[in-house]
Amino acid sequence: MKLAIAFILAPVFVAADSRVREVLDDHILPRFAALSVATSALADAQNCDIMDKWNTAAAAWIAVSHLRFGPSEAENRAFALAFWPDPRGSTPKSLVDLLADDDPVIVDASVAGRGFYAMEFLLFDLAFSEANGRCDLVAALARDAHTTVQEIEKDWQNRYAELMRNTGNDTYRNDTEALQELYKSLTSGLDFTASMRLGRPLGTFDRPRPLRAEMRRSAQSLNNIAVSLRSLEELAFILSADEPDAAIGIKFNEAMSAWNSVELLEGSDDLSVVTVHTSRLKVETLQQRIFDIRVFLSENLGPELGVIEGFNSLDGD
Amino acid sequence: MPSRRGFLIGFMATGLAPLPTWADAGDPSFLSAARTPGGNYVLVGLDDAGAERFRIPLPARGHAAAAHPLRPEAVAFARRPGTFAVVLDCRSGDVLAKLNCPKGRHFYGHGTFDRLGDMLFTTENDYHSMRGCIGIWDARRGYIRIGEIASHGVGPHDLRLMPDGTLVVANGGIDTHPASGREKLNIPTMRPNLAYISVDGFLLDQVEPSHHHASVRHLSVRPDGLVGVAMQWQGEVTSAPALVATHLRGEDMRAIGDGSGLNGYVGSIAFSGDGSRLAITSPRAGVAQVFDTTTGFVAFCVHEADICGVAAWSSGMIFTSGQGTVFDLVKGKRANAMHDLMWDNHLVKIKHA
Repeated sequence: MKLAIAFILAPVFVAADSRVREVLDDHILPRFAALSVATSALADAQNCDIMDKWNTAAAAWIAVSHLRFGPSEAENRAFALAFWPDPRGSTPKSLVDLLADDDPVIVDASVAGRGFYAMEFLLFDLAFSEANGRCDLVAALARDAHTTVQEIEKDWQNRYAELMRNTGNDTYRNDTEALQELYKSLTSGLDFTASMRLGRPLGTFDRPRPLRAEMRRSAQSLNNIAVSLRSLEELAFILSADEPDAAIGIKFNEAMSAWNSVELLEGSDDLSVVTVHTSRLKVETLQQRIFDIRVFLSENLGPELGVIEGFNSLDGD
Repeated sequence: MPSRRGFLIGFMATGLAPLPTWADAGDPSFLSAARTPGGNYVLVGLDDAGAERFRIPLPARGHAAAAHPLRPEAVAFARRPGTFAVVLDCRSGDVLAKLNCPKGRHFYGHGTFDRLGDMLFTTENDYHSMRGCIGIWDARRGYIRIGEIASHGVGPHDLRLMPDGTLVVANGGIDTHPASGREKLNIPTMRPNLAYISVDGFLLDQVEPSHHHASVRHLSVRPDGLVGVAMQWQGEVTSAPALVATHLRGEDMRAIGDGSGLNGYVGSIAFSGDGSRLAITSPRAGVAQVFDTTTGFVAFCVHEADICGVAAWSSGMIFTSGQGTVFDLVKGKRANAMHDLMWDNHLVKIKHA
């Protein structure tokens, strides 16, 4: 009798798309595990001389920052880890409030005062270097971030990975829907890196905005572009597995070589080079190469996964 | 009620007889923004059969439009965070006026006239102080800006005229800032609401949806004052509650449907011509759900890729899609008309006087 049941159920599992499994096992789960290790080191630090540990953890976040669905979206977790862009300057304001509080409850604080970007202010911004209670707040924010990361990681392990592995549930009716979700995170990751991480500091030719660069205080702005591209390339390769596509690799390589020519420039770390006319062109080229990847995917990989990007469905208004 | 005298002054201000009417622009029944195969943007007048009556170029991608109730004039709004809107003469395509947002404001893409077309109201973002506002423009005098009132919320999107001449506004609750494009800045703390406002800015009534992540976005108003509300979910898609509701001033919001099968996103909403049905579209799910207004049950589901525009038509309703189709429910899935245009979000009914 047991055998018979196993026989009947078997085909259901065989049908699972191996790409979803690979994205989970080779991209999502290990990258969140790496983030968890990095925030654990931050949370366990005995002093606040933790710039290197912060750099590692922030980069680990950038590498999963495109996975904005499921566990990251639940309970506003991603916002609590990463409040950026911040056009109103809410993060320093929230930090001033938190520093004024003798015993702040971080989990109840505004998300603007939590997470990696808030810690960056405390660790790297001169305005906070002499602030009373700075080290205590750094430690509290580090523990809070680690708790949030652990929640995301556990949610992936205990709940969400299973929803994607064994589709046919309310969240993903079939494997195609799971693949489409992953594809969407790939393209929105590319959009965010091109439009926000590069677009914000680029501003316009007449008015570049170097102070709007992501993580410019820690000089990670340019590095974040590379971290993001490598992670997105990893995801793109797995998703295109049915049709091994050297062309995707070529597109990412073109973007990376554009990145290399920016990196050679003086002052490229924090992207302040956007104010120098000749250098700026190289940053614009990098941005264009990322948009090229995006267009290539929507014309090639997207249709193969059954994603037709509609005029209205993409609009979001 | 506007006085008869006001009515006459409004008429006279438009110029001497003969007064142009919508009949002079080919008698269209609907307006919609669209993208052409060449990648240009246009505003199109459609008749009851879904056929094109006029086409006017737009400077950039449009969103919704507002049709003047008497004169053949349409206001086309830029997609947010646009700062321009153009008033078009639908007979000639001439630009009659340009609406430029004051400094520190941008449009959200929707606007409405008052009943006689004397004033135009536009939803705007006062982004320095993170509050929504309604711009007021004088349509009798070249659409000059004559003032603004608070929207009583953040991120006002759609707004409609109520049968009694007041305004109902969908305050989506989402804070954005032009310096970060369309990035949403306050999802954890967003507080959407539906606000009823007198044209002089007094808050008459306000209700919040049952969950603060349900961004109140688009509206349809029935002649008896029942408001259809369409929402967009900002939380995890799997946990989306009902994203459609009806509301009557003084009462609670009544949820319609269960939020499933919409991908957390509703693009447009409209009551049917006879008011017995309420239709919503989700381009992300490629579906329109048509509810019985009385029972709240789904009467029909229509699957059509990139469907979004919907408006009252005859006793029923008519839909448009990003693939160029125009269709109603009477003919079933067979399109009334097919265009080589990508119809943008909203199909706007022209209310003939």
